Amino acid sequence: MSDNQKRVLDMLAEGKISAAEAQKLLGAIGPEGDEPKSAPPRSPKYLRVVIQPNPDVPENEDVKRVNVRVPVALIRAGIKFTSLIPAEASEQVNEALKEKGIDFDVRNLKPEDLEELIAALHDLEVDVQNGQEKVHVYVE
Amino acid sequence: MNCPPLILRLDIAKAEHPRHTVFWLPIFLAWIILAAIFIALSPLIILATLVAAPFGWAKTVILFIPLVCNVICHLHGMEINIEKKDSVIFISFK
Repeated sequence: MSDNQKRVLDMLAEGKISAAEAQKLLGAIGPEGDEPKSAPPRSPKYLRVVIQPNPDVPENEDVKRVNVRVPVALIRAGIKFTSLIPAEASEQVNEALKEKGIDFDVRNLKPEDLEELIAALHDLEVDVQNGQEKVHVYVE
Repeated sequence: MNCPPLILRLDIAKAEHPRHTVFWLPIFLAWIILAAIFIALSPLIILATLVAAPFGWAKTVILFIPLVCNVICHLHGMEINIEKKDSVIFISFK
Protein backbone atom coordinates (compact mmCIF):
# COMPACT_ATOMS: atom_id res chain seq x y z
CA MET A 1 0.00 0.00 0.00
CA SER A 2 1.46 3.38 -0.95
CA ASP A 3 1.79 6.42 1.32
CA ASN A 4 -0.93 8.33 -0.50
CA GLN A 5 -3.37 5.47 -0.18
CA LYS A 6 -2.58 5.21 3.54
CA ARG A 7 -3.12 8.92 4.02
CA VAL A 8 -6.52 8.73 2.36
CA LEU A 9 -7.57 5.79 4.53
CA ASP A 10 -6.32 7.58 7.65
CA MET A 11 -8.36 10.64 6.75
CA LEU A 12 -11.39 8.43 6.24
CA ALA A 13 -10.82 6.74 9.59
CA GLU A 14 -10.52 10.14 11.30
CA GLY A 15 -13.75 11.26 9.67
CA LYS A 16 -12.11 14.12 7.79
CA ILE A 17 -13.50 12.88 4.49
CA SER A 18 -16.52 10.86 3.51
CA ALA A 19 -16.44 7.40 1.96
CA ALA A 20 -17.39 8.79 -1.45
CA GLU A 21 -14.58 11.34 -1.30
CA ALA A 22 -12.13 8.63 -0.21
CA GLN A 23 -13.19 6.48 -3.14
CA LYS A 24 -12.64 9.40 -5.53
CA LEU A 25 -9.22 10.10 -4.11
CA LEU A 26 -8.18 6.45 -4.24
CA GLY A 27 -9.35 6.25 -7.85
CA ALA A 28 -7.32 9.34 -8.72
CA ILE A 29 -4.23 7.90 -7.06
CA GLY A 30 -4.50 4.70 -9.02
CA PRO A 31 -3.75 1.06 -8.04
CA GLU A 32 0.00 1.70 -7.62
CA GLY A 33 -0.45 4.90 -5.59
CA ASP A 34 2.42 7.31 -5.95
CA GLU A 35 4.71 4.93 -7.74
CA PRO A 36 5.70 6.49 -11.04
CA LYS A 37 4.53 4.57 -14.04
CA SER A 38 7.62 3.47 -15.84
CA ALA A 39 7.66 3.43 -19.59
CA PRO A 40 7.11 -0.02 -21.04
CA PRO A 41 10.44 -1.64 -21.89
CA ARG A 42 11.37 -1.24 -25.53
CA SER A 43 11.30 -4.41 -27.55
CA PRO A 44 14.85 -5.47 -28.41
CA LYS A 45 15.74 -4.74 -32.01
CA TYR A 46 19.11 -6.36 -32.55
CA LEU A 47 21.08 -9.29 -31.20
CA ARG A 48 24.79 -8.57 -31.15
CA VAL A 49 27.58 -11.07 -30.96
CA VAL A 50 31.03 -9.63 -30.40
CA ILE A 51 34.14 -11.80 -30.44
CA GLN A 52 37.41 -10.13 -29.59
CA PRO A 53 40.83 -11.07 -28.24
CA ASN A 54 40.89 -11.84 -24.54
CA PRO A 55 42.38 -8.75 -22.85
CA ASP A 56 43.93 -10.92 -20.12
CA VAL A 57 46.06 -12.81 -22.61
CA PRO A 58 49.12 -11.22 -24.22
CA GLU A 59 48.16 -9.75 -27.53
CA ASN A 60 47.61 -12.37 -30.19
CA GLU A 61 47.53 -10.91 -33.65
CA ASP A 62 45.99 -14.05 -35.15
CA VAL A 63 42.74 -13.72 -33.23
CA LYS A 64 39.93 -12.36 -35.38
CA ARG A 65 37.55 -9.72 -34.17
CA VAL A 66 33.99 -10.46 -35.18
CA ASN A 67 31.02 -8.19 -34.66
CA VAL A 68 27.66 -9.44 -35.87
CA ARG A 69 24.37 -7.58 -35.59
CA VAL A 70 21.29 -9.67 -36.28
CA PRO A 71 17.83 -8.10 -36.38
CA VAL A 72 15.52 -9.78 -33.88
CA ALA A 73 12.84 -9.77 -36.57
CA LEU A 74 15.10 -12.05 -38.58
CA ILE A 75 15.29 -14.49 -35.68
CA ARG A 76 11.47 -14.42 -35.46
CA ALA A 77 11.21 -15.17 -39.16
CA GLY A 78 13.75 -17.98 -38.90
CA ILE A 79 11.95 -19.66 -35.99
CA LYS A 80 8.87 -19.99 -38.18
CA PHE A 81 10.76 -22.57 -40.22
CA THR A 82 10.13 -25.04 -37.41
CA SER A 83 6.49 -25.17 -38.54
CA LEU A 84 7.71 -26.78 -41.76
CA ILE A 85 9.19 -29.77 -40.00
CA PRO A 86 6.93 -32.77 -40.72
CA ALA A 87 5.97 -35.02 -37.82
CA GLU A 88 8.37 -37.83 -38.78
CA ALA A 89 11.29 -35.46 -39.19
CA SER A 90 10.53 -33.64 -35.94
CA GLU A 91 10.77 -36.97 -34.09
CA GLN A 92 14.20 -37.54 -35.56
CA VAL A 93 15.20 -34.01 -34.62
CA ASN A 94 13.99 -34.56 -31.06
CA GLU A 95 15.96 -37.80 -30.82
CA ALA A 96 19.09 -36.10 -32.09
CA LEU A 97 18.64 -33.33 -29.51
CA LYS A 98 18.15 -35.91 -26.75
CA GLU A 99 21.41 -37.60 -27.69
CA LYS A 100 23.10 -34.25 -27.11
CA GLY A 101 21.44 -33.99 -23.74
CA ILE A 102 18.76 -31.49 -24.76
CA ASP A 103 15.32 -32.71 -23.77
CA PHE A 104 13.21 -30.45 -25.94
CA ASP A 105 10.36 -31.03 -28.38
CA VAL A 106 10.66 -28.75 -31.43
CA ARG A 107 6.92 -29.06 -32.01
CA ASN A 108 6.32 -27.16 -28.77
CA LEU A 109 8.02 -24.06 -30.11
CA LYS A 110 5.23 -21.60 -30.87
CA PRO A 111 5.32 -17.95 -32.05
CA GLU A 112 3.67 -16.80 -28.77
CA ASP A 113 6.45 -18.42 -26.75
CA LEU A 114 8.99 -16.77 -28.99
CA GLU A 115 7.57 -13.32 -28.23
CA GLU A 116 7.94 -13.99 -24.51
CA LEU A 117 11.47 -15.17 -25.06
CA ILE A 118 12.35 -12.11 -27.13
CA ALA A 119 10.88 -9.80 -24.48
CA ALA A 120 13.01 -11.59 -21.88
CA LEU A 121 16.08 -11.09 -24.05
CA HIS A 122 15.99 -7.44 -23.16
CA ASP A 123 18.16 -8.12 -20.10
CA LEU A 124 20.27 -10.79 -21.72
CA GLU A 125 23.98 -10.35 -21.56
CA VAL A 126 26.42 -13.24 -21.95
CA ASP A 127 30.15 -12.91 -21.41
CA VAL A 128 32.39 -15.90 -22.09
CA GLN A 129 36.16 -15.86 -21.91
CA ASN A 130 37.75 -18.87 -23.52
CA GLY A 131 41.50 -18.90 -23.84
CA GLN A 132 42.41 -16.30 -26.40
CA GLU A 133 38.91 -15.07 -27.15
CA LYS A 134 36.21 -13.21 -25.36
CA VAL A 135 32.62 -13.61 -26.54
CA HIS A 136 30.01 -11.04 -25.63
CA VAL A 137 26.37 -11.58 -26.56
CA TYR A 138 23.82 -8.90 -25.81
CA VAL A 139 20.65 -7.29 -27.08
CA GLU A 140 20.05 -3.68 -28.02
CA MET B 1 5.62 -7.08 -44.31
CA ASN B 2 8.93 -5.25 -44.77
CA CYS B 3 10.45 -4.88 -48.19
CA PRO B 4 13.67 -6.83 -48.79
CA PRO B 5 16.99 -4.97 -48.46
CA LEU B 6 17.82 -3.15 -51.67
CA ILE B 7 21.51 -2.48 -51.25
CA LEU B 8 24.35 -4.56 -49.88
CA ARG B 9 27.28 -2.53 -48.63
CA LEU B 10 30.59 -4.35 -48.74
CA ASP B 11 33.69 -2.70 -47.26
CA ILE B 12 37.03 -4.34 -47.74
CA ALA B 13 40.20 -2.93 -46.26
CA LYS B 14 43.60 -4.50 -46.65
CA ALA B 15 46.78 -3.59 -44.81
CA GLU B 16 48.71 -2.96 -48.02
CA HIS B 17 46.13 -0.46 -49.29
CA PRO B 18 45.72 2.79 -47.35
CA ARG B 19 42.07 3.23 -48.44
CA HIS B 20 39.34 0.71 -48.06
CA THR B 21 37.21 -0.38 -50.98
CA VAL B 22 33.48 0.13 -50.71
CA PHE B 23 31.00 -1.70 -52.89
CA TRP B 24 27.35 -0.77 -53.01
CA LEU B 25 25.72 -3.81 -54.57
CA PRO B 26 22.16 -3.53 -55.87
CA ILE B 27 20.87 -6.79 -54.42
CA PHE B 28 17.34 -5.83 -55.39
CA LEU B 29 18.33 -7.19 -58.80
CA ALA B 30 18.90 -10.58 -57.19
CA TRP B 31 15.40 -10.51 -55.72
CA ILE B 32 13.96 -9.67 -59.14
CA ILE B 33 15.84 -12.58 -60.68
CA LEU B 34 14.70 -14.92 -57.90
CA ALA B 35 11.10 -13.80 -58.42
CA ALA B 36 11.39 -14.47 -62.13
CA ILE B 37 12.83 -17.93 -61.45
CA PHE B 38 10.02 -18.64 -59.02
CA ILE B 39 7.39 -17.65 -61.56
CA ALA B 40 9.05 -19.76 -64.21
CA LEU B 41 9.24 -22.79 -61.90
CA SER B 42 5.77 -22.37 -60.41
CA PRO B 43 4.23 -25.21 -62.50
CA LEU B 44 6.93 -27.54 -61.20
CA ILE B 45 6.31 -26.33 -57.65
CA ILE B 46 2.61 -27.09 -58.01
CA LEU B 47 3.46 -30.52 -59.36
CA ALA B 48 5.87 -31.11 -56.48
CA THR B 49 3.14 -30.15 -54.02
CA LEU B 50 0.71 -32.63 -55.56
CA VAL B 51 3.32 -35.39 -55.49
CA ALA B 52 4.36 -34.61 -51.91
CA ALA B 53 0.81 -34.30 -50.55
CA PRO B 54 0.22 -38.04 -49.90
CA PHE B 55 3.44 -38.15 -47.87
CA GLY B 56 2.52 -35.20 -45.65
CA TRP B 57 5.09 -32.84 -47.19
CA ALA B 58 2.60 -30.57 -49.02
CA LYS B 59 2.63 -27.98 -46.23
CA THR B 60 6.42 -27.91 -46.32
CA VAL B 61 6.50 -27.32 -50.08
CA ILE B 62 3.77 -24.65 -50.03
CA LEU B 63 5.10 -22.68 -47.05
CA PHE B 64 8.82 -22.92 -47.79
CA ILE B 65 9.02 -20.08 -50.30
CA PRO B 66 6.88 -17.58 -48.34
CA LEU B 67 9.01 -18.28 -45.25
CA VAL B 68 12.22 -17.73 -47.22
CA CYS B 69 10.74 -14.45 -48.51
CA ASN B 70 9.90 -13.50 -44.92
CA VAL B 71 13.49 -14.14 -43.85
CA ILE B 72 14.85 -12.12 -46.79
CA CYS B 73 12.53 -9.21 -45.98
CA HIS B 74 13.88 -9.05 -42.42
CA LEU B 75 17.53 -8.85 -43.39
CA HIS B 76 17.41 -5.07 -43.02
CA GLY B 77 19.93 -3.87 -40.49
CA MET B 78 22.02 -7.03 -40.46
CA GLU B 79 25.72 -6.28 -40.20
CA ILE B 80 28.79 -8.48 -40.14
CA ASN B 81 32.19 -7.03 -39.32
CA ILE B 82 35.27 -9.24 -39.41
CA GLU B 83 38.69 -7.87 -38.57
CA LYS B 84 41.71 -10.00 -39.20
CA LYS B 85 45.37 -9.17 -38.77
CA ASP B 86 45.74 -7.62 -42.21
CA SER B 87 42.21 -7.12 -43.50
CA VAL B 88 38.80 -5.86 -42.49
CA ILE B 89 35.53 -6.92 -44.07
CA PHE B 90 32.24 -5.21 -43.34
CA ILE B 91 28.92 -6.37 -44.78
CA SER B 92 25.70 -4.47 -44.24
CA PHE B 93 22.21 -5.00 -45.62
CA LYS B 94 20.40 -1.70 -46.18
